Amino acid sequence: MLDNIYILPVVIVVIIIYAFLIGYLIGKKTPHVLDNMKNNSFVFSKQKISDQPQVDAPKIDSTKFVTKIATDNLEKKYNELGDIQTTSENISESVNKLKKKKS
Amino acid sequence: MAGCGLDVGTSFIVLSKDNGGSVEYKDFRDAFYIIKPTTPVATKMIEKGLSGKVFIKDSDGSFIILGKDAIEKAIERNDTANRPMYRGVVSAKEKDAKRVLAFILKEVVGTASEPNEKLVFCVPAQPIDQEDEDFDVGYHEDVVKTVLAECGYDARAINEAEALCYAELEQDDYTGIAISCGAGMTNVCVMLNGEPTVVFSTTKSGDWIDRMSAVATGESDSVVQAEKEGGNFTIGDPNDNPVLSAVSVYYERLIDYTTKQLAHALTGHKSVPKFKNPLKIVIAGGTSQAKGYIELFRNQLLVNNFPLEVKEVVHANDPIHAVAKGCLIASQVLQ
Repeated sequence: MLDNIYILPVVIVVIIIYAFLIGYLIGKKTPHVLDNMKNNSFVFSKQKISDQPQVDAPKIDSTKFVTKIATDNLEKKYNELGDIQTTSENISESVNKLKKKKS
Repeated sequence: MAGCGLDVGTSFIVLSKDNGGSVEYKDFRDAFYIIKPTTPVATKMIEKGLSGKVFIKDSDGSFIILGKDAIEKAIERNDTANRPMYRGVVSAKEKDAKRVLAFILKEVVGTASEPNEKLVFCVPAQPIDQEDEDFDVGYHEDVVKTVLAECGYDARAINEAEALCYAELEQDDYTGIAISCGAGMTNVCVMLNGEPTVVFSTTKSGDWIDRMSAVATGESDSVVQAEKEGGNFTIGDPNDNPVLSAVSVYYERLIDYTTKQLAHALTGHKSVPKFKNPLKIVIAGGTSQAKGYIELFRNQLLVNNFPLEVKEVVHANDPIHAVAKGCLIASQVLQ
Protein backbone atom coordinates (compact mmCIF):
# COMPACT_ATOMS: atom_id res chain seq x y z
CA MET A 1 0.00 0.00 0.00
CA LEU A 2 2.82 2.33 0.98
CA ASP A 3 4.60 1.45 -2.26
CA ASN A 4 1.54 2.50 -4.17
CA ILE A 5 1.51 5.84 -2.36
CA TYR A 6 5.17 6.49 -3.49
CA ILE A 7 4.71 5.23 -7.02
CA LEU A 8 2.37 8.04 -8.03
CA PRO A 9 4.70 10.97 -7.11
CA VAL A 10 7.63 9.14 -8.67
CA VAL A 11 5.67 8.70 -11.90
CA ILE A 12 4.65 12.34 -11.78
CA VAL A 13 8.25 13.44 -11.21
CA VAL A 14 9.45 11.21 -14.08
CA ILE A 15 6.71 12.63 -16.34
CA ILE A 16 7.73 16.18 -15.36
CA ILE A 17 11.44 15.44 -16.02
CA TYR A 18 10.51 13.79 -19.32
CA ALA A 19 8.31 16.76 -20.25
CA PHE A 20 11.15 19.11 -19.29
CA LEU A 21 13.61 17.20 -21.44
CA ILE A 22 11.21 17.19 -24.40
CA GLY A 23 10.60 20.88 -23.88
CA TYR A 24 14.36 21.52 -23.65
CA LEU A 25 14.99 19.59 -26.84
CA ILE A 26 12.16 21.38 -28.63
CA GLY A 27 13.51 24.66 -27.30
CA LYS A 28 16.97 23.80 -28.57
CA LYS A 29 15.56 22.87 -31.94
CA THR A 30 13.21 25.86 -32.37
CA PRO A 31 15.90 28.62 -32.78
CA HIS A 32 17.51 26.59 -35.62
CA VAL A 33 14.20 26.45 -37.35
CA LEU A 34 13.85 30.20 -36.96
CA ASP A 35 17.40 30.74 -38.07
CA ASN A 36 16.81 28.58 -41.08
CA MET A 37 13.68 30.49 -41.86
CA LYS A 38 15.60 33.73 -41.58
CA ASN A 39 18.44 32.37 -43.69
CA ASN A 40 16.07 30.96 -46.23
CA SER A 41 14.21 34.19 -46.54
CA PHE A 42 17.58 36.02 -46.92
CA VAL A 43 18.80 33.58 -49.52
CA PHE A 44 15.51 33.80 -51.27
CA SER A 45 15.58 37.56 -51.42
CA LYS A 46 19.20 37.39 -52.48
CA GLN A 47 18.30 34.93 -55.19
CA LYS A 48 15.53 37.22 -56.24
CA ILE A 49 18.07 40.05 -56.66
CA SER A 50 20.63 37.92 -58.47
CA ASP A 51 17.94 36.52 -60.77
CA GLN A 52 17.46 40.03 -62.09
CA PRO A 53 19.70 40.92 -65.07
CA GLN A 54 23.00 42.55 -64.02
CA VAL A 55 22.79 46.23 -64.97
CA ASP A 56 25.75 48.59 -64.58
CA ALA A 57 25.17 51.92 -62.95
CA PRO A 58 23.88 54.35 -65.59
CA LYS A 59 26.65 56.43 -67.09
CA ILE A 60 26.37 59.58 -69.13
CA ASP A 61 28.26 59.79 -72.42
CA SER A 62 30.69 62.58 -71.64
CA THR A 63 32.86 62.20 -74.74
CA LYS A 64 33.50 65.57 -76.33
CA PHE A 65 31.00 66.41 -79.06
CA VAL A 66 32.46 67.36 -82.42
CA THR A 67 30.77 70.54 -83.55
CA LYS A 68 30.65 71.56 -87.20
CA ILE A 69 34.06 72.71 -88.29
CA ALA A 70 33.44 75.52 -90.72
CA THR A 71 36.17 76.02 -93.28
CA ASP A 72 34.03 77.71 -95.95
CA ASN A 73 35.02 81.16 -94.73
CA LEU A 74 38.68 80.47 -95.48
CA GLU A 75 39.65 81.82 -98.88
CA LYS A 76 42.27 79.75 -100.70
CA LYS A 77 45.19 81.80 -102.05
CA TYR A 78 47.42 79.18 -103.68
CA ASN A 79 47.33 76.65 -106.50
CA GLU A 80 48.77 73.48 -105.09
CA LEU A 81 49.26 72.29 -101.53
CA GLY A 82 51.75 69.58 -100.60
CA ASP A 83 54.72 67.87 -102.22
CA ILE A 84 54.09 64.73 -104.24
CA GLN A 85 56.56 61.88 -104.43
CA THR A 86 56.10 58.53 -106.17
CA THR A 87 58.05 55.43 -105.21
CA SER A 88 58.16 52.11 -107.07
CA GLU A 89 56.73 49.96 -104.28
CA ASN A 90 54.34 47.10 -104.89
CA ILE A 91 52.24 46.61 -101.80
CA SER A 92 49.95 43.87 -103.20
CA GLU A 93 52.11 41.06 -101.75
CA SER A 94 52.08 42.67 -98.30
CA VAL A 95 48.32 43.17 -98.54
CA ASN A 96 47.69 39.53 -99.49
CA LYS A 97 49.98 38.19 -96.75
CA LEU A 98 48.36 40.37 -94.13
CA LYS A 99 44.86 39.46 -95.35
CA LYS A 100 45.70 35.77 -94.82
CA LYS A 101 46.98 36.52 -91.32
CA LYS A 102 43.87 38.46 -90.42
CA SER A 103 41.39 35.95 -91.88
CA MET B 1 42.76 49.47 -106.05
CA ALA B 2 40.95 52.31 -104.31
CA GLY B 3 41.84 53.12 -100.74
CA CYS B 4 44.13 55.58 -99.03
CA GLY B 5 46.45 55.75 -96.07
CA LEU B 6 46.85 58.91 -94.02
CA ASP B 7 49.49 59.66 -91.44
CA VAL B 8 48.06 62.50 -89.37
CA GLY B 9 51.22 63.54 -87.59
CA THR B 10 52.13 66.44 -85.34
CA SER B 11 54.72 67.67 -87.81
CA PHE B 12 53.67 66.17 -91.16
CA ILE B 13 50.46 65.02 -92.78
CA VAL B 14 51.19 62.32 -95.35
CA LEU B 15 48.65 60.85 -97.75
CA SER B 16 49.47 57.59 -99.53
CA LYS B 17 47.76 56.09 -102.58
CA ASP B 18 48.37 52.86 -104.44
CA ASN B 19 48.88 53.32 -108.18
CA GLY B 20 49.25 49.60 -108.91
CA GLY B 21 52.97 48.93 -108.71
CA SER B 22 53.88 52.30 -107.26
CA VAL B 23 52.85 54.32 -104.24
CA GLU B 24 52.19 58.04 -104.38
CA TYR B 25 52.87 60.12 -101.26
CA LYS B 26 51.66 63.64 -100.67
CA ASP B 27 53.39 65.41 -97.76
CA PHE B 28 52.39 68.60 -96.08
CA ARG B 29 54.05 70.31 -93.14
CA ASP B 30 51.54 70.55 -90.32
CA ALA B 31 52.08 74.16 -89.29
CA PHE B 32 50.44 77.55 -89.58
CA TYR B 33 51.22 81.17 -88.81
CA ILE B 34 48.67 83.96 -88.53
CA ILE B 35 49.31 87.56 -89.56
CA LYS B 36 46.58 90.02 -88.66
CA PRO B 37 46.90 93.31 -90.58
CA THR B 38 45.99 96.44 -88.68
CA THR B 39 45.21 98.76 -91.62
CA PRO B 40 43.85 98.31 -95.18
CA VAL B 41 47.24 99.41 -96.56
CA ALA B 42 48.99 96.78 -94.44
CA THR B 43 46.55 94.17 -95.76
CA LYS B 44 47.52 94.92 -99.36
CA MET B 45 51.25 95.00 -98.54
CA ILE B 46 51.13 91.71 -96.65
CA GLU B 47 49.12 89.99 -99.38
CA LYS B 48 51.66 91.18 -101.96
CA GLY B 49 54.50 89.94 -99.77
CA LEU B 50 52.89 86.53 -99.48
CA SER B 51 52.73 86.06 -103.25
CA GLY B 52 53.84 82.52 -104.15
CA LYS B 53 53.38 81.28 -100.58
CA VAL B 54 50.72 78.83 -99.44
CA PHE B 55 48.22 80.85 -97.44
CA ILE B 56 44.53 81.38 -96.84
CA LYS B 57 42.58 84.49 -96.01
CA ASP B 58 40.21 84.38 -93.07
CA SER B 59 36.86 86.19 -92.93
CA ASP B 60 38.25 88.63 -90.32
CA GLY B 61 40.93 89.76 -92.81
CA SER B 62 43.84 87.88 -91.27
CA PHE B 63 46.23 85.75 -93.29
CA ILE B 64 46.92 82.16 -92.30
CA ILE B 65 50.16 80.93 -93.82
CA LEU B 66 50.38 77.15 -94.06
CA GLY B 67 53.06 74.49 -94.11
CA LYS B 68 56.78 75.15 -94.44
CA ASP B 69 56.01 78.71 -95.52
CA ALA B 70 54.51 79.25 -92.05
CA ILE B 71 57.76 78.16 -90.40
CA GLU B 72 59.81 80.41 -92.72
CA LYS B 73 57.57 83.39 -92.00
CA ALA B 74 57.71 82.74 -88.24
CA ILE B 75 61.52 82.59 -88.33
CA GLU B 76 61.57 85.81 -90.38
CA ARG B 77 59.59 87.48 -87.60
CA ASN B 78 61.65 85.87 -84.82
CA ASP B 79 58.59 83.97 -83.72
CA THR B 80 57.40 80.36 -83.52
CA ALA B 81 54.92 78.82 -85.97
CA ASN B 82 51.75 77.27 -84.56
CA ARG B 83 50.79 73.65 -84.80
CA PRO B 84 47.21 72.45 -85.34
CA MET B 85 48.24 69.34 -83.42
CA TYR B 86 50.02 68.88 -80.13
CA ARG B 87 51.47 65.55 -79.02
CA GLY B 88 49.70 63.55 -81.70
CA VAL B 89 46.18 64.91 -81.21
CA VAL B 90 44.29 68.04 -82.24
CA SER B 91 45.65 70.84 -80.12
CA ALA B 92 43.44 72.09 -77.31
CA LYS B 93 45.84 74.98 -76.75
CA GLU B 94 45.44 76.59 -80.19
CA LYS B 95 42.15 78.38 -80.73
CA ASP B 96 42.25 77.93 -84.51
CA ALA B 97 43.75 74.42 -84.43
CA LYS B 98 40.64 72.44 -85.29
CA ARG B 99 39.65 74.70 -88.17
CA VAL B 100 43.14 74.83 -89.68
CA LEU B 101 43.61 71.07 -89.28
CA ALA B 102 40.25 70.46 -90.99
CA PHE B 103 41.24 72.76 -93.85
CA ILE B 104 44.65 71.11 -94.34
CA LEU B 105 43.16 67.61 -94.17
CA LYS B 106 40.49 68.46 -96.74
CA GLU B 107 43.09 69.95 -99.07
CA VAL B 108 45.55 67.06 -98.71
CA VAL B 109 43.07 64.18 -99.15
CA GLY B 110 40.70 65.84 -101.63
CA THR B 111 37.36 64.29 -102.53
CA ALA B 112 37.04 60.50 -102.44
CA SER B 113 37.41 58.81 -105.85
CA GLU B 114 34.28 56.77 -105.13
CA PRO B 115 31.57 57.08 -102.46
CA ASN B 116 32.74 55.70 -99.11
CA GLU B 117 36.26 55.00 -100.32
CA LYS B 118 38.20 53.28 -97.54
CA LEU B 119 40.76 55.46 -95.79
CA VAL B 120 42.84 54.37 -92.82
CA PHE B 121 44.49 57.04 -90.69
CA CYS B 122 46.73 56.72 -87.67
CA VAL B 123 46.20 57.81 -84.07
CA PRO B 124 48.63 57.74 -81.15
CA ALA B 125 48.40 55.34 -78.23
CA GLN B 126 47.75 56.40 -74.65
CA PRO B 127 50.98 57.76 -73.14
CA ILE B 128 52.55 55.89 -70.23
CA ASP B 129 54.56 58.80 -68.89
CA GLN B 130 51.92 61.50 -68.49
CA GLU B 131 48.29 61.89 -67.62
CA ASP B 132 47.09 64.89 -69.51
CA GLU B 133 43.45 65.94 -69.58
CA ASP B 134 44.03 67.60 -72.95
CA PHE B 135 45.15 64.30 -74.42
CA ASP B 136 41.89 62.95 -75.82
CA VAL B 137 42.53 60.41 -78.61
CA GLY B 138 38.80 59.64 -78.92
CA TYR B 139 37.95 63.26 -79.62
CA HIS B 140 40.86 63.61 -82.05
CA GLU B 141 39.69 60.48 -83.88
CA ASP B 142 36.13 61.84 -84.08
CA VAL B 143 37.36 65.19 -85.44
CA VAL B 144 39.44 63.53 -88.18
CA LYS B 145 36.62 61.10 -89.05
CA THR B 146 34.11 63.95 -89.31
CA VAL B 147 36.37 65.91 -91.66
CA LEU B 148 37.12 62.86 -93.82
CA ALA B 149 33.45 61.88 -93.97
CA GLU B 150 32.72 65.34 -95.39
CA CYS B 151 35.18 64.48 -98.18
CA GLY B 152 33.30 61.23 -98.88
CA TYR B 153 35.60 58.73 -97.15
CA ASP B 154 34.78 55.78 -94.94
CA ALA B 155 37.59 56.47 -92.51
CA ARG B 156 38.96 54.17 -89.83
CA ALA B 157 41.72 54.70 -87.31
CA ILE B 158 44.61 52.42 -86.38
CA ASN B 159 47.50 52.88 -84.00
CA GLU B 160 50.49 54.70 -85.51
CA ALA B 161 53.10 52.09 -84.53
CA GLU B 162 50.77 49.27 -85.63
CA ALA B 163 50.74 50.86 -89.10
CA LEU B 164 54.53 50.91 -89.02
CA CYS B 165 54.53 47.15 -88.26
CA TYR B 166 52.38 46.52 -91.35
CA ALA B 167 54.80 48.52 -93.50
CA GLU B 168 58.07 47.10 -92.22
CA LEU B 169 57.65 43.64 -90.67
CA GLU B 170 56.45 41.61 -93.66
CA GLN B 171 59.71 39.65 -93.93
CA ASP B 172 59.48 38.79 -90.23
CA ASP B 173 55.96 37.35 -90.52
CA TYR B 174 54.58 40.51 -88.95
CA THR B 175 56.33 39.75 -85.67
CA GLY B 176 58.56 42.29 -83.93
CA ILE B 177 58.53 45.79 -82.48
CA ALA B 178 57.90 49.06 -84.31
CA ILE B 179 58.79 52.44 -82.86
CA SER B 180 57.51 55.59 -84.53
CA CYS B 181 59.51 58.62 -83.40
CA GLY B 182 57.35 61.54 -84.46
CA ALA B 183 57.53 65.18 -83.51
CA GLY B 184 55.07 65.06 -80.65
CA MET B 185 55.30 61.50 -79.37
CA THR B 186 57.08 58.18 -79.58
CA ASN B 187 54.67 55.35 -80.35
CA VAL B 188 55.48 51.70 -79.74
CA CYS B 189 53.78 48.50 -80.93
CA VAL B 190 54.76 44.92 -80.09
CA MET B 191 53.31 42.61 -82.75
CA LEU B 192 52.94 38.85 -82.97
CA ASN B 193 51.86 37.32 -86.30
CA GLY B 194 50.05 40.47 -87.38
CA GLU B 195 48.27 41.05 -84.09
CA PRO B 196 49.30 44.01 -81.93
CA THR B 197 49.81 42.74 -78.38
CA VAL B 198 51.13 45.85 -76.63
CA VAL B 199 50.79 49.47 -77.76
CA PHE B 200 51.78 52.57 -75.84
CA SER B 201 53.41 55.95 -76.31
CA THR B 202 55.71 58.36 -74.53
CA THR B 203 55.24 62.11 -74.68
CA LYS B 204 58.83 63.16 -75.39
CA SER B 205 60.18 63.32 -78.92
CA GLY B 206 61.35 65.85 -81.52
CA ASP B 207 59.34 68.80 -80.18
CA TRP B 208 60.81 68.21 -76.72
CA ILE B 209 64.32 68.49 -78.23
CA ASP B 210 63.33 71.74 -79.99
CA ARG B 211 61.79 73.22 -76.84
CA MET B 212 64.67 72.30 -74.54
CA SER B 213 67.30 73.46 -77.06
CA ALA B 214 65.38 76.71 -77.58
CA VAL B 215 65.38 77.38 -73.83
CA ALA B 216 69.09 76.52 -73.59
CA THR B 217 70.14 78.77 -76.48
CA GLY B 218 67.57 81.57 -76.30
CA GLU B 219 66.34 80.89 -79.84
CA SER B 220 62.76 80.25 -80.91
CA ASP B 221 61.48 76.68 -81.38
CA SER B 222 61.11 77.28 -85.12
CA VAL B 223 64.75 78.40 -85.45
CA VAL B 224 65.91 75.32 -83.57
CA GLN B 225 63.69 73.10 -85.71
CA ALA B 226 65.07 74.62 -88.93
CA GLU B 227 68.69 74.28 -87.72
CA LYS B 228 68.04 70.71 -86.60
CA GLU B 229 66.51 69.65 -89.90
CA GLY B 230 69.01 71.45 -92.12
CA GLY B 231 72.12 71.21 -89.98
CA ASN B 232 74.91 68.70 -90.31
CA PHE B 233 75.42 67.03 -86.95
CA THR B 234 75.85 63.58 -85.48
CA ILE B 235 74.35 62.69 -82.13
CA GLY B 236 77.09 62.49 -79.53
CA ASP B 237 79.71 64.35 -81.59
CA PRO B 238 80.86 67.84 -80.52
CA ASN B 239 79.53 70.70 -82.66
CA ASP B 240 80.65 74.33 -82.99
CA ASN B 241 77.09 75.52 -83.64
CA PRO B 242 75.55 76.16 -80.19
CA VAL B 243 72.04 75.21 -81.35
CA LEU B 244 73.20 71.94 -82.89
CA SER B 245 75.37 71.25 -79.88
CA ALA B 246 72.31 71.59 -77.62
CA VAL B 247 70.20 69.53 -80.03
CA SER B 248 72.80 66.75 -79.97
CA VAL B 249 72.84 66.63 -76.16
CA TYR B 250 69.05 66.57 -75.90
CA TYR B 251 68.92 63.82 -78.52
CA GLU B 252 71.16 61.70 -76.28
CA ARG B 253 68.91 62.36 -73.29
CA LEU B 254 65.78 61.60 -75.32
CA ILE B 255 67.13 58.25 -76.56
CA ASP B 256 68.20 57.29 -73.06
CA TYR B 257 64.74 58.22 -71.71
CA THR B 258 62.87 56.39 -74.48
CA THR B 259 64.87 53.18 -74.12
CA LYS B 260 64.44 53.30 -70.33
CA GLN B 261 60.68 53.72 -70.76
CA LEU B 262 60.61 50.84 -73.26
CA ALA B 263 62.52 48.54 -70.91
CA HIS B 264 60.37 49.57 -67.95
CA ALA B 265 57.06 49.18 -69.82
CA LEU B 266 57.84 45.76 -71.28
CA THR B 267 59.52 44.19 -68.24
CA GLY B 268 57.01 41.76 -66.76
CA HIS B 269 54.17 43.01 -68.97
CA LYS B 270 51.46 40.34 -69.00
CA SER B 271 50.54 40.89 -72.65
CA VAL B 272 54.06 40.49 -74.03
CA PRO B 273 54.13 37.09 -75.79
CA LYS B 274 56.86 34.50 -75.26
CA PHE B 275 58.68 34.99 -78.55
CA LYS B 276 60.48 31.97 -79.99
CA ASN B 277 63.10 33.99 -81.83
CA PRO B 278 64.99 37.23 -81.22
CA LEU B 279 63.01 40.24 -82.41
CA LYS B 280 63.53 42.83 -85.08
CA ILE B 281 63.02 46.41 -83.93
CA VAL B 282 62.18 48.88 -86.68
CA ILE B 283 62.35 52.63 -86.12
CA ALA B 284 60.78 55.37 -88.25
CA GLY B 285 59.62 58.99 -88.01
CA GLY B 286 61.20 62.37 -88.60
CA THR B 287 62.96 62.46 -85.24
CA SER B 288 64.83 59.24 -86.06
CA GLN B 289 66.50 60.82 -89.10
CA ALA B 290 69.36 62.42 -87.16
CA LYS B 291 72.74 60.79 -87.82
CA GLY B 292 73.66 58.30 -85.11
CA TYR B 293 70.09 57.86 -83.84
CA ILE B 294 69.74 54.14 -84.61
CA GLU B 295 73.23 53.26 -83.33
CA LEU B 296 72.70 55.08 -80.05
CA PHE B 297 69.22 53.59 -79.67
CA ARG B 298 70.67 50.09 -80.12
CA ASN B 299 73.36 50.75 -77.49
CA GLN B 300 70.98 52.27 -74.98
CA LEU B 301 68.62 49.30 -75.22
CA LEU B 302 71.49 47.14 -73.97
CA VAL B 303 72.56 49.63 -71.32
CA ASN B 304 69.02 49.99 -70.00
CA ASN B 305 68.38 46.21 -69.82
CA PHE B 306 65.74 45.82 -72.49
CA PRO B 307 63.90 42.63 -71.42
CA LEU B 308 63.42 40.97 -74.84
CA GLU B 309 66.03 39.33 -77.03
CA VAL B 310 66.78 41.58 -80.01
CA LYS B 311 67.93 40.34 -83.42
CA GLU B 312 68.52 43.77 -84.95
CA VAL B 313 67.56 47.42 -84.67
CA VAL B 314 66.95 48.90 -88.12
CA HIS B 315 65.79 52.13 -89.68
CA ALA B 316 62.66 51.95 -91.86
CA ASN B 317 63.33 52.06 -95.60
CA ASP B 318 61.49 55.36 -95.84
CA PRO B 319 61.23 56.78 -92.29
CA ILE B 320 58.94 59.70 -93.23
CA HIS B 321 56.45 57.69 -95.30
CA ALA B 322 56.49 54.31 -93.51
CA VAL B 323 53.45 54.99 -91.28
CA ALA B 324 51.40 56.27 -94.25
CA LYS B 325 52.39 53.15 -96.20
CA GLY B 326 51.22 50.94 -93.30
CA CYS B 327 47.90 52.80 -93.24
CA LEU B 328 47.57 52.24 -97.00
CA ILE B 329 48.20 48.49 -96.59
CA ALA B 330 45.59 48.40 -93.80
CA SER B 331 43.06 50.19 -96.04
CA GLN B 332 43.57 47.56 -98.77
CA VAL B 333 43.19 44.73 -96.28
CA LEU B 334 39.81 46.22 -95.34
CA GLN B 335 38.56 46.13 -98.98
